[in-house]
Formats: sequence, structure tokens, C-alpha cells
Amino acid sequence: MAIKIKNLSYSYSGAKKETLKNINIDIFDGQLCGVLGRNLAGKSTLCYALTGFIPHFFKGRIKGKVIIDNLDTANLPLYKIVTKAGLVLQNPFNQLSGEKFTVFEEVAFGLENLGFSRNEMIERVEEILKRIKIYDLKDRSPYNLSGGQQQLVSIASVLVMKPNILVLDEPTSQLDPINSKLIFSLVKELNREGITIIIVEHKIEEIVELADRILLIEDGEILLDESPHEIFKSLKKYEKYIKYMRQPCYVKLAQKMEEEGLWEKINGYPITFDQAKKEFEV
Amino acid sequence: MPKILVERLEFTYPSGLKALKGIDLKIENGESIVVIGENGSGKTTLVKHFNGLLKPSSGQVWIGKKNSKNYTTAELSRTVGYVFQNPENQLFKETVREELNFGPKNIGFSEDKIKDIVVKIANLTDIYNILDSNPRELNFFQKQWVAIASTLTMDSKILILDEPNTSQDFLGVEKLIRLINNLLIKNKTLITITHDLDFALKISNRFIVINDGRIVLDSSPQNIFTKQQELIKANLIPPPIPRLGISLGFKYPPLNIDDFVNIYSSSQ
Repeated sequence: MAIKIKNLSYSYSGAKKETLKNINIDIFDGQLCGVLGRNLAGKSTLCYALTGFIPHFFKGRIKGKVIIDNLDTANLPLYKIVTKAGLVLQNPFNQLSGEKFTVFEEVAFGLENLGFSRNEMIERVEEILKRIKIYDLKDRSPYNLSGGQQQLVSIASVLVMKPNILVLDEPTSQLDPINSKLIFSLVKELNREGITIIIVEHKIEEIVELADRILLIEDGEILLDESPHEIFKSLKKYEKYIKYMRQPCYVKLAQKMEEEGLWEKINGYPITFDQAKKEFEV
Repeated sequence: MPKILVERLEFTYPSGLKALKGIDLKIENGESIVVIGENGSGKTTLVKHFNGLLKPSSGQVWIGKKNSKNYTTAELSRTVGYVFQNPENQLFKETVREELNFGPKNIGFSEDKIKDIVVKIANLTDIYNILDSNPRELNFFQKQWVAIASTLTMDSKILILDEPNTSQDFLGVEKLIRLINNLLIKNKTLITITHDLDFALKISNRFIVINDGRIVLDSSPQNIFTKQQELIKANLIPPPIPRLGISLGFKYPPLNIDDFVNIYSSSQ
């Protein structure tokens, strides 16, 4: 098992309220979990807990355990955790080290800290820059890039550590549609190679297509833990959660088509572009 | 007279990067336009000329009767409000309330007027309950709202929103759409940069596509979604519903679900 979260509750230092409330989740090797939920639901906090930033960086009150690769993250130093579970932060400005003058050096920063050989460092950095198509930015300053380009750099700086678990907190929020697609297909590819992925994302159409499991968080609790298809199979089932997550537009479209008598539901509502195309093809 | 007139604008950064390569653009009073295009295409560089944060390397930018090169950002900001892409660059006061007071105080609003407008804007943007918080301790999406609110308190005629919805959840995006449409009723001129074309559709009927420092398309979304090649070049994909319609061979791209259903049923 990749990650086991056992009775995890957490509140930030000084906060009266718990941000995470008794969370229990098992995430298996190679799973791709999409995390949905409103702002302030606890999604980013969960990401910090999954990658050791809680309790090593954010102190606060913590109950329960997060176990990665059979090891309790509380007993594992952060420099060891980052090679097992990498976190791509929501705001790329916070991911940059602030110490490096070029994109190349920025992406090499983590490896440098872990004492990798120069040759291996160069090889890994070049490979990842080419893979996410930012090789031509390698000599630019990370601070003179557009927001979207910075986000790609921060993703590169995590992937270069080759973690087996990758946690991404809204990685495409500042990217243009094609760059977002690039990140989603990269995530899919990494997952096919065996990397376990947990991704927080507001773009529901993309996430239901990508993920094999959806976790819906509200007010620090896991409200729903199911496959995307199951969630949107029937309207009745979904209705309970309507306040906490948006419906994929294909589901809404199919409901409208159903109402108008233009379409009949046989296998549930289409949740992806391809399914919708198939359903509505004349 | 157009609110904003851009003539043959070129801009080169000190590093030598030529970001704008000849932009011509006219924005009328009360219009809402969205600027779209790939990361690094020059969108932010363009709009930074509208409040004088950047001055043209060549060409002109007119804000009403004012040529931007003769005015400072402080002077232009009475007319042009600017919400930065990264709110962290915009917030520097100890409390949200001070942040909201700052702009109107600087442009000489009376104490009473400031008090009134701060309450009104805080309610409108739903940040009334965090007025006494320290902006640095807020979440990113809340900072985004504070940045929007602190610009709105200046009551400027023109408003620039640089990717205002990046960290908003679906309810936040809906709130933003309501807010923008509210501003349009008040005849404000809005320029919004976004990557979210679905959001763009709900706030504007004029899309400006920028690619490599040039405007490659300036038209209605319906028209723009049919220009596949230009869109691909600019790293853009139509949003789901229009894209689905196009792939099903609809006569024209549907802009929303009702549109889709109408076109679908008329082709049956």
C-alpha cells in the first residue's frame, strides 16, 4: 500500500478548529485519486499531511498517523520523505527556492541538497525539462517567467526527485488549456508507469476523466470516496453533494437532453468528452 | 471616444525579450473584453500598459484623452484599477480593512465616503468577516478576493482583472461572474485575462487572442471557436460544450447547454 492514513486529525497552531477530522484512507500503489472540495474544505492541508509537511513544517496539533511505504511520516525526516512523496504546491511562487538564478539550477536544487553527482543531476534535470517541454526556458530566471511557466518549473522541480507518490495541489490553475492538457496527460503517463497520484483539482471534467477514485472533502471530513462513474450514475445519488461539488457539464447536458426527450439514459450519464460524443452522435 | 486606444504598440523588456510586436486595439466605454492566449504570450505585458506600469517601447496607449507615457501609474490608477495575477504582490498592509482603505485614501476620498465604500465592497465581495484579519494569514483564494476588493474601493471606470479566478472553487467563480456582470451594469469597462474559456464566455462577448506578442483574433467567441488552427497555435481549446458541438458537426459552436440542445433538436 502506498499511503495509509489512520484516524488523522489536525489543527494549525493557534487555530481553535480542526482542519482535518478523523480521516481514514488507504491509497493503493498505482492509484490515481482526484480530490474535490470547496475552498477551505481541507484539501491543501491533506496534501501537506500526505507529504510530511505536516508535522515537519507545519506544527500544530496532530492526532493519528500517516504511513508511507510502511513508515510513519512523523518519524521520517522531510529530506527522506521528498524522495518518496513529492508535493507540487498550489502557488508556484511559493515553490521556488529563492536562491537560484536559472530554471535549470532551480530544478536541480533538490538533487543538489541530497548530494547527487553532477552528471546524474544534469541528466535528470535535462530529461525532465524536455519531458514537460520547458527546455528552452532553462537559462531564464525563474522570476522572469509568466505564472504558467513558473508552475511548470515547480512541477519539474518535484518530478526530478522521482518520487513514487506524487501529490499535486491544483497544478493547472494558472496554465493555458493546452499546457493544462499537457500536465493532465503527464500525470496519466506517470501513473501508468506506476506512480501513485493524488491530485486536487477544480476542473471537474478533467478530473473525472483522469481519476479512478474521487475523494470529496468538506469541512475536514471525507464525504465521499467512490469511482467517478458511480458518483454521477444517478441524479438522486449526486443530489446530496450538489452543494460541495460542481457537476461535470456533460452530465448537466445529458440531463437537459433527457428532459427534452432528445436522449435516453441507458448506462448512466456520460462524464467524459468521449462518452458524451458517443451518446449524442446522430 | 474609446476608453482605451492602443496604436502600433511594441514592448521589449530590458532583458531583450520582445514581448509585444505591434498591437492595435480599441476598447469602448462599458465593454467587457477577455484576453486569452498561451502562457508567456504577452497578455499581462499588454494590460500593464493600460495603467502605466509599463510604457511603450514604441507606439501609443491612450486612456481616454491621456497618453499613457505622460502620466504616472498613480495618476492613471484613478481611472484604471488593476488586480494582479498574484495577490501577494498587491497586499502589504496589516489588516484587510487597511488594505481596502489604502486606495481611496490615496486618491483623496473623504473619510465618510471611504467608510461607506469599504463596507459596500466588503459585502459585495463577501470578505466582511475577515476585515480585521492580516492579509498574509489568509488563504490564496481569500487574498484574491481582498486584492479584487481593494481595487474596487477606488471605484475606477476601467478595471483590469489578471486571472482573477485561478484559485476559486465553483462557487467562487459564480460569485465572480455575478460581480463582473454587476460592474457592467454600472457601465464600467472591463478587461479580463483568463485561461478559463468557460468563465470567459459568461462575462464577455469579445475575445482577444494573443499569440507571440500579436493579436491574432479579435471577435465573438462563437466565431473564434471555429478557427481551429489559430486556436491551436495560441495553445487554446474551446471549452467542453462548444468543443462537443464542433466535433458532432454542428452548424455553429454552441456556447452553452441550452444552445447545444437547440441546435441538436433543430438538426433532428
